[in-house]
Amino acid sequence: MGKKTQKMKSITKSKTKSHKQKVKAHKKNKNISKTKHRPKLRSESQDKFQKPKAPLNEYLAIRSNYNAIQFIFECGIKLGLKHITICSAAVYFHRFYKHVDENSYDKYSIASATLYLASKVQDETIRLRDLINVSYHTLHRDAAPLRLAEDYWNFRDSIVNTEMLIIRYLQFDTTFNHPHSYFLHYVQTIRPVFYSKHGKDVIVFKKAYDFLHDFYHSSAILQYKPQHIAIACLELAIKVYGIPSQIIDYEKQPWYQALVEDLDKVTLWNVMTAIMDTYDLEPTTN
Amino acid sequence: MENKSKKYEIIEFLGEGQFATVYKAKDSISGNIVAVKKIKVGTVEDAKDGVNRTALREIKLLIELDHENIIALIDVFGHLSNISLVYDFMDTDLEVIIKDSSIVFTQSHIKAYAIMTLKGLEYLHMNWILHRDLKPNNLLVNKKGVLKIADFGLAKRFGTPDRLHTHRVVTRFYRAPELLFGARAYGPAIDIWAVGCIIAELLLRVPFLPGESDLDQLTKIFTTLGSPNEETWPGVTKLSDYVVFKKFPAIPLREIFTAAPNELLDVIGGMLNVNPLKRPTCSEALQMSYFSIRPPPSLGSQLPIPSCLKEKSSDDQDAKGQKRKFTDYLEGGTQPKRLVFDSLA
Repeated sequence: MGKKTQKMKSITKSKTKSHKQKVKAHKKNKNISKTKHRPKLRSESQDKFQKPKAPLNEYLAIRSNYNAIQFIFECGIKLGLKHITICSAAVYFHRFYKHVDENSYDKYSIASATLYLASKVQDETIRLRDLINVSYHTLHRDAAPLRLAEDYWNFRDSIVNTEMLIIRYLQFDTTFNHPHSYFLHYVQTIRPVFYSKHGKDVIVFKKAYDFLHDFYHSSAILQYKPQHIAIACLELAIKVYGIPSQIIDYEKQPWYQALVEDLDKVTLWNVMTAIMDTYDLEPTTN
Repeated sequence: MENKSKKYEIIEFLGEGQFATVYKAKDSISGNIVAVKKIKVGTVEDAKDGVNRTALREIKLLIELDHENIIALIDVFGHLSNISLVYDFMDTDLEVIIKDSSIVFTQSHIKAYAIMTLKGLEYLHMNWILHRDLKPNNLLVNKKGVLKIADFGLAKRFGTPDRLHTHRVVTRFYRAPELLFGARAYGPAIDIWAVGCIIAELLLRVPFLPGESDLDQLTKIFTTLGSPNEETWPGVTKLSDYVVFKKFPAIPLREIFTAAPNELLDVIGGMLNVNPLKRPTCSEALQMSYFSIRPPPSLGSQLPIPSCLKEKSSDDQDAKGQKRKFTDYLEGGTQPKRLVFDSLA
């Protein structure tokens, strides 16, 4: 549901494609995000070794920013929030920690409050009580339901106060130009060029979309233009998975220059490196 | 960040709204006069839910906008658990001007206000924002005669086809029929309807369609403009709150607005088309001949200033806050005024 709205918005703005293509692309993209992408995010680290059943994160064991963002994604998905809302929360989190010392505040309180703030900004209201319950059970997976007692009211106050603290550190600027709409536009543009007859193209775009969301785990997401991030995700996926087409000739002209004018090779590689570096942020569990 | 509340020296209290108090203040650094809107955290519910949603929405939208006819958000600051928004200072609003019986509107005045409103709204719609609460009270005017659209507490982004909105928006007098019928997928046409009502109000000097309830509002609309059917408004019967009305014929606008030129009646008639799809967009409206024929719109300096501001050179506190209440015209206190036009060639 979440993906859909975001996609549709950009569709209305980009008037380059025929309606049929739009619908087709739209359906495919929806599948990508919904069915396969979500569970992956939660447990990337363990995925490699224990494929069938990935253990859940023990958030309280390691309190890193990377884990806190994973926590944002997990809670956001559990609360049924749109991707763009979750991504906004991640952006607020990174912006907040630009100003604040790493250890001054409890990361998971900040994470919960960013989700609350993002849901308000994106007009996707969640009840504070739901947020508290979801956050609590994500941190304490086997705990009994939280009673409506002192602890609960303390959590509530703390989220409300933290929200105010965050928005003041953000200087009330809650806007962020997410790469998503550019991403969709680019995918729609290049898909028919690269893959006119092949059915297996989805994997590349799906991976590119994974890269995009994983990149939100890194504060480097704040440094680059959204257009460049979108291109870098696609280029990285193309580099990793290859492309069954002779159309790309980097000697002549890189494909992305048709889409973005101000992107040179060095910048592109910087962004791609930043995306790859995100995976090094992942704390190694023992 | 903390010292910002000291940066603005409060000069006087301006008014109190549902969820905010407004002060006139001076920026102690630049010396500019500004309006500071302090969001109340008075109610228990507000405090429980954290940052006020309406304020957040207003900040989010205004921070990205920059137009002559849109109120500018200069600054935002937080103090304790309060949020305060700092705007351009505006001397009065269109509601006060309309109500001021000492002011006589000329064609040029009306044209000037209509153009400024439409330009601001055109900019909003171009940026995919619906205002959803247009009324004279939210059109602020400063001493230079510049009109700015304010109060974005109900404003929302539109353009996502599958995203529904609530139909419980817009002050009743200015609410479009599709909203009253419970439409959830509406568009810029609801703002255009409100502008149509405002222009009509500039002519009549009282609200054009003052409904006492939602149903009465529909009755007023249809007895004046004619009731819709599937021919004049395809799809109307499928709206969720649709109610069948007796067949009313439309009263010719000429009979209501006796002194208005034909071109202006075209503008009003277009904007107050019951079928939202037939209403013009802001850009189309601005292209209508009314806006290019004589007389030209007044320059800002020629626009009227309400008497309460003229007298206010000394310390006359009573004159402000003298906003009319809705009950005023329900009691029939104010008489409709006819336009007085000085000899138009």
